[in-house]
Amino acid sequence: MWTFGRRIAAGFALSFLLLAAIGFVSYRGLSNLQSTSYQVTHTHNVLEHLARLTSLAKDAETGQRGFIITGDEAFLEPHTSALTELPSVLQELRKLTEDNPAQQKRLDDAERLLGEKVTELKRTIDMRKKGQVDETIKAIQAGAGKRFMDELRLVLAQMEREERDLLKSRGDEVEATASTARGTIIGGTLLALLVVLIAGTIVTRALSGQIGRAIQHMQSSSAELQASANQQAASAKESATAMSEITTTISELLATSRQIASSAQRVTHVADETSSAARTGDQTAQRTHESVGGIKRQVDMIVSHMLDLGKKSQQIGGILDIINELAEQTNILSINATIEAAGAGEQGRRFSVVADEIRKLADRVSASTKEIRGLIDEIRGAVNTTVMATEGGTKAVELGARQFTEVTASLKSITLLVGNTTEAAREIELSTKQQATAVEQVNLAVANVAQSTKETEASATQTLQTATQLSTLSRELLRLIQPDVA
Amino acid sequence: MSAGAVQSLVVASGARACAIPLSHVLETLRPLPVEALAGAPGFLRGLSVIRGKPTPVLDLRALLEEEPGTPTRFVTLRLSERTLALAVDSVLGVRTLDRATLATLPPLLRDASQRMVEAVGTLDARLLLVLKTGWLLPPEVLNALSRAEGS
Repeated sequence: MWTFGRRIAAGFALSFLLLAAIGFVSYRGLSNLQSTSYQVTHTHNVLEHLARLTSLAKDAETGQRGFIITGDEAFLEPHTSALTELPSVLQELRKLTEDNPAQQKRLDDAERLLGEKVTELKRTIDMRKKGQVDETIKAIQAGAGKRFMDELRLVLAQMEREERDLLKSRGDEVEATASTARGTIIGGTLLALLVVLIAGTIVTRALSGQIGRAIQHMQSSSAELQASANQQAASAKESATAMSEITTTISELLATSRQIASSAQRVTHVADETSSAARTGDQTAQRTHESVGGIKRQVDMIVSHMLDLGKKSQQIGGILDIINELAEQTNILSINATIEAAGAGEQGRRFSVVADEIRKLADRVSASTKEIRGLIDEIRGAVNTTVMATEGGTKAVELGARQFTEVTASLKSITLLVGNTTEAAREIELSTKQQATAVEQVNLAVANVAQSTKETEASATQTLQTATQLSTLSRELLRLIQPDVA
Repeated sequence: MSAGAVQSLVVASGARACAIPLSHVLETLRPLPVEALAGAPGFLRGLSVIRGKPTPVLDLRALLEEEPGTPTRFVTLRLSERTLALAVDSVLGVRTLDRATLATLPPLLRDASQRMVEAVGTLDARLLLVLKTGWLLPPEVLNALSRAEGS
């Protein structure tokens, strides 16, 4: 996506790159020019030194010739000063041409030829000093000196030609560099102008198109914003009214929940008292249950004793049966004895009396056993009645015990239920208190909401104003960008 | 003992008391198991082994034509050469009866069924029948006994 920023940045970047390229090329051309001018100066320097060397060689020869001709040593002065200066000029020249091996080689030749020339000059001067004028002239006429000088001139001319060639080529280089720099600057400037023109056109078109559309959108959006701000302001007013009603309702709710909490507290108190009473009842019932248990045990003991008594009576009855049996047997035996005694006549009479007494005793025993049996039967009857009565009592006691157990269970159940009730009432109380707190918080929140609603109303009004301003602004903006449209 | 006095064993039979002359009585004993006889008359209960001998057992209540009862005693008698047992309700004891205090049966009562009763009296406000010693057993009884012993 090509945003405005990117487009503008791309245009500027392209222009900058072109400017940088132009600058770089110009800078390099200038550097080249500077370097070439240094080299030209250097070549001129070398040429100067070469000329000086030739001049010094000529001075040395001139001095020699003057002295030889005149014999006056005053004419030797140019010769002497040339010989003094010559080594330094040679050294400087060697230094200046150290980057050129060909020139160095030529310089070696020149130095050698100069040495030979100087030696020849010295020899002729010495000869003249000794007064050998003719020999001296002959020596000169031999042409050795001239030859040395010619060769030297040739070498130095070669060196000069070399330097002049270098100077020419550097001049060409300077021309080429300057031409390149010129071409680059002109072409680059033209290209930069073109790029800036194209970028400007594109950005302007994009700006006037897209921003125009955006501003049109903004216009419609600000109109919608206006409408919605109107609506929002109306809603905020309604909300404020509703919030007021809610606040009233919540206040009533708060009062109700406080009443519920108070009632729950009273219920808790009553339930506590009931629980205490039920516990006391439970303890009493427990004690009574224990007493009833004691009674039951006593009654069980009585029943046991009574049953034992019945068994004993039965045993007595068995003994009585035996006694009765014995009495009956005695009765039969005594009657039989009486019968036997009657058969014995007079002698049996006394025995008969004894037998009759025995029978009477047996009869009395029998009668007594009957009486005892009767008494025992009565005792057994009484025992049975007692056992039945005590069994009835036991049943009543058991019933009572069961009922007491039920009562105890009921009391425990009541205690448990009352406990549950207390807990529930406490939970209600707690919940109601929490509810009251929550309602208070809700009340607070509603107050905040009401405040927010008022603020919303204010901000909606503000938004409305802002939307109107925005609409005006966008229209003006559109007019600025697209005057024909606006 | 005077001639008018006679020693008797007094037994109870229902509401009555019966006196049996002691000269006929052998002993009194508890009832023993009785083996019933087929075709025997009602008063003959059957045979019982007494002292190792089979002895016919008569029911005094049946003989006196009374309601049937539960005898608690056997009284063994010797009549001429015959031994038999009499099942009675109970033995009241040996008594000496004065004949002077006894009355003979009125003529109206002297029928065949009462031939075994010699006299009547009272004993402790109870009717006392004095059984005949020799007539104790009526002929049909004797015949029945003979048939039983013969069988």
